[in-house]
Amino acid sequence: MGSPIIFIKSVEQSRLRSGLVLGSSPSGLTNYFYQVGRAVPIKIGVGSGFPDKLSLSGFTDSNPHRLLTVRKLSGQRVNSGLTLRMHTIKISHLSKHFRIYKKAPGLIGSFRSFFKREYELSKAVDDISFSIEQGELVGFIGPNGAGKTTTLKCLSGLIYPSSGSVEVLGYTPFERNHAFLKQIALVMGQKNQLWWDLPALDSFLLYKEIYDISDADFKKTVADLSDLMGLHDNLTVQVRKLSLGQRMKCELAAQLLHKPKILFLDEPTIGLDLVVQQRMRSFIKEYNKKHTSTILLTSHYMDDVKELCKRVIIINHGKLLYDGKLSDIISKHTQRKKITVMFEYPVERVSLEKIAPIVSYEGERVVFEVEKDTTATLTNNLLSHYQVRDLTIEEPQIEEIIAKVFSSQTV
Amino acid sequence: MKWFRIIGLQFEEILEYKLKSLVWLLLPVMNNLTLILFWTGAVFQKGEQTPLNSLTTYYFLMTICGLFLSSHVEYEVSELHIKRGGLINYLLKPISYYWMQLFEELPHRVLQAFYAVLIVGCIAVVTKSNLTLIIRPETFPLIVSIFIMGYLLSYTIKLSLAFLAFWIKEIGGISELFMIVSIIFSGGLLPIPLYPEVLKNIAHSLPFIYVGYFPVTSIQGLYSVEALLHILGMQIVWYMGILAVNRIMWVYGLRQFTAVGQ
Repeated sequence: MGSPIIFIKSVEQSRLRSGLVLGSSPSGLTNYFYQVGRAVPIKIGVGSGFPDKLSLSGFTDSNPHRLLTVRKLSGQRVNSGLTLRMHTIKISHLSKHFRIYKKAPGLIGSFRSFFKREYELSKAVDDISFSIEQGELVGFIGPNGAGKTTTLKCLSGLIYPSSGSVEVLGYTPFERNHAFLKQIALVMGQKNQLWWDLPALDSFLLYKEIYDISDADFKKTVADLSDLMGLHDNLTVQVRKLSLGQRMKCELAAQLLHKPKILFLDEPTIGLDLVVQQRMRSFIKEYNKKHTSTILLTSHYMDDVKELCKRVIIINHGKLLYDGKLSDIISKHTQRKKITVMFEYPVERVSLEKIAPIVSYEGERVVFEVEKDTTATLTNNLLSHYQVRDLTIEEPQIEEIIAKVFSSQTV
Repeated sequence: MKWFRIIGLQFEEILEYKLKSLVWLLLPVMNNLTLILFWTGAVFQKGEQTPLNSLTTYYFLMTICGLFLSSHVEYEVSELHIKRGGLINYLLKPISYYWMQLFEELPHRVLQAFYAVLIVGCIAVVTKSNLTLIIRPETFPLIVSIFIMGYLLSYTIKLSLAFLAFWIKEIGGISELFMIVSIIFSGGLLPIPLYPEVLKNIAHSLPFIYVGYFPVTSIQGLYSVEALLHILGMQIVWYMGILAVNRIMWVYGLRQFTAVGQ
């Protein structure tokens, strides 16, 4: 048999870009080479037959998840179970450096810099690597200037990386392929993307045209988003006359009209009141679940991260500090617990110190810090030997844990 | 359809600020009225009448055509989009920035030209000026094409100028200097034939003459079909060359873009 030609259904094909994909049959005996192009046909260059099942590997990584439907060019369905799993987002050794102009303060500094300017290299992102699979909702956290927004800008194709590779949905973001841009959205908190002097609905109508959204889809999506976010009364009001919360909801809705598969959320709840924050979180969670979209979220509000993200990526000074489950980092840093006891009467410090280390002593109110495993023993001990009015056991707040990670630069 | 939507939205936005457009319009009108007054004084002293009518027509038409054909994208693109980072709103959309900007600006040009026709018409009636327009049926499509190419040329030049902001953040001074040069060599100050030989030669070797002088004089009926075809051809040549430079600047400029401020 000659080189058969297969093609991948259009929806999936848009994820693939030029390049060779090495495949092998389940028996592992035959290797196939697929020339993946922008056009539909994909040629198998080498092979002794078209196998019933193919498992592809080598498409830049070996962590497959996408299901592709492969057919012969004749249209005969050969195999609908062929799987090619790609990471939706893959960053490898990404660095972004900026040249920053430095000037000494005062007039002398100005004169000096007029003749000779001094520049400093700022490593906003410094050799970070991670990958995210479809449907994941990942928290991307770090203090101010850690490199979060720069990374998001590289991922959405806004800025060109200094080195390393970035791949999103199989595309190189910076090439700004329109098929890629139709599948992503970036929402930046407190940044306006809607037309300032016109009602949000006018901007929505423009986006409808830009993203080629059908009338029916547009009506349904706007209605759904309005219901979910309570936007009905806001859509026909000039954007500049909306409150920050109302505007943020409109901004988010505008970026979701084309149902992006990947959503980059940069501080989406910044400046919003608690009620609106909660609504935004519920909405993001719902959207992620409903559309199996991949969401990368940066936020300084740990409540956002706690409520939405199972996985977190922590960066600081452009370096990746941690990539893993949020629960793991919490349990790692909660080996010790604080027990606050209110006694009925003041108890001598000396006697209490024999039981456990004291963090603070105020006579009737004493705070102990103990190993997690000994909490029950200590509590029993206190309750059986003293008259206790109140007793509370606290784990360190997630904010404390993250702050500790930021300052220690280790996890 | 999306381009119509953009044009529609721009009109909606312009109508939000009714007076802004009118104020901007009055600047070139006043400038050209000053020039007309100057020439009126000069020609009356010599006791000649005929060139004055032709000059008045020229300046009135230059006002209208200048408002329609001279693009002013440089501030928005260099300052608001590149320097302050507003470009990200465009980069995130699956749409061409070049055409998006063009269709965002076009309504401003059309509206200003419309206002200019009304105001210049009123001034001409009040001052009893004879405005002479000669558009023959056989030249009409060519003149329309010259106007379209004139605008495209002006837009692409200004956009390229604005793209300098990718490398040098502050282009205000360059922009002012560029404007003066373009006014002089597009015939905004004087009709080109009245220039000294050296300046005339320079004007003919620069693209600005195809944005101002030639479109204006083409509706004064100064050219044959062959001459109009030549003007159009030269506009296309200039446009293709500047567009190529513009595309190269865009590709390399984006690599410098830091999206700072956003």
